[in-house]
Amino acid sequence: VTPDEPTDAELAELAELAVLVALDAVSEDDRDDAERRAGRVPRGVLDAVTALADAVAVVPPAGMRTRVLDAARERRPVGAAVGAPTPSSPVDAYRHAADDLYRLLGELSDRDWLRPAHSDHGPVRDLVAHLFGIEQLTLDWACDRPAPDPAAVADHVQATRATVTALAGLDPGAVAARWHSLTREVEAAVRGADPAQPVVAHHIPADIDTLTVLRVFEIWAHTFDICTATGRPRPVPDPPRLALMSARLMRALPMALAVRGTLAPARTARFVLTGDAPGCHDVALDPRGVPAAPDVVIVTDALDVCQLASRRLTPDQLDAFVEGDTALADVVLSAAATFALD
Amino acid sequence: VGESGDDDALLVSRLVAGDDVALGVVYDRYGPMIFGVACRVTGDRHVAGEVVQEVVMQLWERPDRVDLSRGSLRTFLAVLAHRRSVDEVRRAARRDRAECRAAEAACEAGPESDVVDAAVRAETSTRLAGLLAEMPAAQREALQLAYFDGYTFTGVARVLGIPEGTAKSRLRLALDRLRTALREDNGGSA
Repeated sequence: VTPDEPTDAELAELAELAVLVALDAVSEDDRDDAERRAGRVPRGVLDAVTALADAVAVVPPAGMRTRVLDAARERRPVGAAVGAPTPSSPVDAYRHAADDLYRLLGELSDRDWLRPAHSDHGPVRDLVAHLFGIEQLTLDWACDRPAPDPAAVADHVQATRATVTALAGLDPGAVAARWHSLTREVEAAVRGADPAQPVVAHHIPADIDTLTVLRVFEIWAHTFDICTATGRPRPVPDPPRLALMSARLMRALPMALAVRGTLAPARTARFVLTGDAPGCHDVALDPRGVPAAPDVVIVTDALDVCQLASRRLTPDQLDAFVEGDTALADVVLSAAATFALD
Repeated sequence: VGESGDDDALLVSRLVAGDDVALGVVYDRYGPMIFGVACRVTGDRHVAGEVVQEVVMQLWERPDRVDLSRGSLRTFLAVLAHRRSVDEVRRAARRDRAECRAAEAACEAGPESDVVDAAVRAETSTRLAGLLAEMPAAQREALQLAYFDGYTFTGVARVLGIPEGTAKSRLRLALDRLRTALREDNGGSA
């Protein structure tokens, strides 16, 4: 036994103290000190104490359930997540998404730039060129300027074909730098605009605010593609950005159902989002409806549901716990990716 | 729905997110245990109701304080319920539990009861009664006074007329015995 190691007598005393703490057999005044000295109470001791508690279980009186749950909800409203980050503003989220991708692009090797990253956009270098083209269009939309080729703009992939071809001869690092510089111009335009300013993107009516959030989703989705193509782990947005993305997705779901023609009037889905951006969202499954008591509860990770919305995960692949109307859950989850453009 | 570590983790995540449906699940699953402990220790059904409310509200307000690496959600709530009950008893120095015990015995399953859970609880209770019966009387008495009557170890020593050191060692031996018996019951996994 070295001077630093407890003696057997000291260990026995600590074990005794742990039992006293577990049994609450020390006075309130001595409790803090006893807990500090006892350290972590062994699980077996806690299990034994739990068995004592279990053995005296009694059905509470009728009415107590409602009273207790109502009191709890009054103290902390439903949906007020503990430790949830404050959602980013769309424009801040856009800036951070662009910076994250630019940082990643700076790490790529010559071989990485040539790796296939996307079924429509091809290798990483062409995918970045596609983003450059979309950023150009976004700047036009934000500044209410006519697109150079109105016919091609309707299709998200076709809209950037000419740009991708034009940039094909450039060094990929230079394309990345031009893209990142362009995101700064888009950011400045968005910051100077009214968030509610109407825009028409790919012939779809929206507003500046929504357009910016869609850009956040797309940049993250393509960051995901590049990470996958180059063998890197899934990119994780910072919690405020994830909170913005998941909250906006929840808000868009009723319209997504309407677009797909799968509205469920008078029905409500509760999304319980876990992970870095926890939240509880009751979604009326009809744009004109108001949320009521949930018909189905879907518990899943906030990042996973954003991945689903970006079509980087199928509903079958989503790791979700579903309670209630599972058929309704299938309908809702199938609609989540309605606005993904790729 | 079964109870497992994953199940606890899911419930706690739901509570963190602010899902009151999950809070209802917690109440239905653990409410009888919390109420039973509170009733038994405080000896007052009204006070026991307040303890239930306090425990449930504490979980709802700070679910992030549940550390599942230290024990299950059931254990967290059992410990919390007992502590709140003991604090009530010690503050109010309530010692008359006769009324609650009578009420407890007369308590009939209400609309919130769950027949399966009740059977499991009855089995647990019987099993525990057997384990306690096998315990030396001196240890059993000490455990009864500390856990169910809310005495500190100094109180146990005073009531039993024994030195404090003896009270402490009796409590440790009692819980060790219980712990070993439960482990054997669970095939050595507890």
